[in-house]
Amino acid sequence: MSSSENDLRVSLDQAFDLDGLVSLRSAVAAHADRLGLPAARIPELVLVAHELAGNAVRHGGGTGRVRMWRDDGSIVCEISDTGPGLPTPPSDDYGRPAVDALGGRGLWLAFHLSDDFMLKSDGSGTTATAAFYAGEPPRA
Amino acid sequence: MAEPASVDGLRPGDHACLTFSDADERLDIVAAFVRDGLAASQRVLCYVESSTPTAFSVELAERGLPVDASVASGQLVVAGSGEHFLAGGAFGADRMLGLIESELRTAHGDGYAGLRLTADMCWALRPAAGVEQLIAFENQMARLLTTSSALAVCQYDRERFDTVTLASVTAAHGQAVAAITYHDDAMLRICRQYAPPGIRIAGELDFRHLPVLARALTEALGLDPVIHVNLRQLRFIDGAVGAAIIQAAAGLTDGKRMLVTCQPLVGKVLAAIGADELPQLQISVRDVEQ
Repeated sequence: MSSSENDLRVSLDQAFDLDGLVSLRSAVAAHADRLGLPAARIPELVLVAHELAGNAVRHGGGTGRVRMWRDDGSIVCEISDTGPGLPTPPSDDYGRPAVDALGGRGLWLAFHLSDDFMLKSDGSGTTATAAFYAGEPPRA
Repeated sequence: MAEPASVDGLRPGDHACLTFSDADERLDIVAAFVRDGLAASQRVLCYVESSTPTAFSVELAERGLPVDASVASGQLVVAGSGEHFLAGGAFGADRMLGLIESELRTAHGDGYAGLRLTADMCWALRPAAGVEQLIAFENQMARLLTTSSALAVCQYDRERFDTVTLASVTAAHGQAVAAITYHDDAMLRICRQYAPPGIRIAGELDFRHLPVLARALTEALGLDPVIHVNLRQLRFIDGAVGAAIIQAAAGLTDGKRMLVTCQPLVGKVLAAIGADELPQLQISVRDVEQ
């Protein structure tokens, strides 16, 4: 991956809990715009961040951390928690849950809407990373 | 005044006040009031001010009301508030009350079961002589209607009338009419929609609101074989809430259907989680209206 030092500078880094999801969404939207994500894709990144953060507050110990940065041509959003980890190891097989399924839509939407999605999970927590291609970086 | 009444619970003799700040909600309640009057063989008079009679008629027709046939038969009359309340450039409470009594007699003479009136009261904000008689007029209207086969909904825009006038006019009405509201705060409003029947959700909706959404959906599903879920002012939805909506649609049987109207992003989320698999569910995507 080719990336300048400037690109990797973290633009957003904040903790969140259940009551912080609304402000997380507006912070993610503002930073996605500042990092140069096309306006039409900002709502998709906001939804993905919300879904991953919602998983952290419901299943990952109640709190989490969101970080965003630009890596070359992508806007990256990372959501991490220090919870007990996923009950089953992550796989690359994100099928669409059946209409009557109880859950699982968050990971499906993150995989479906982002251009690149990675999930790491073990007994000390879960880290999900979603990247959205931004095209050419904005002029400085 | 008692708790707000639902528009479909109004009866002859009622004099109800509709104070509103959301134009969509006002129109929804007024449309339901007109629809119920047409169905009850009453003559319906609508006095409009913030839109033209033509634009208002189009809005009613879009909500499924038989506007053209009702206007043609004379059952429905749509006219400007100003021309009626301020005929000759000034307001006279006695003249207006006489006019309404005369309309009531004419309605009976023409074979109608009664008279329904609804008026946008913003005409009273015009700099015209006599508008200081507004409160007296509303009190006299209440007495006139009580023993009659007529009923009225007077529409007051909360953003335009001052609070003292609003307090006085609402006190002059026997009922307040409002949409049943399930949730209302700065981020989200969930309320009943009356015409067409269903629910309307505005703002941002996520998994924290699943219990209140379930309650609103359950009540709405009992209203009509075709349930309208109006999400046109919804800016955000997540997968869990989208799933609750499409699961409610999946449970519809016996030819019942759900029609969802929404913005492109909400439509994309619903499609991504399986809305396209359900024959009972129709999604209509419209861009944001301002």
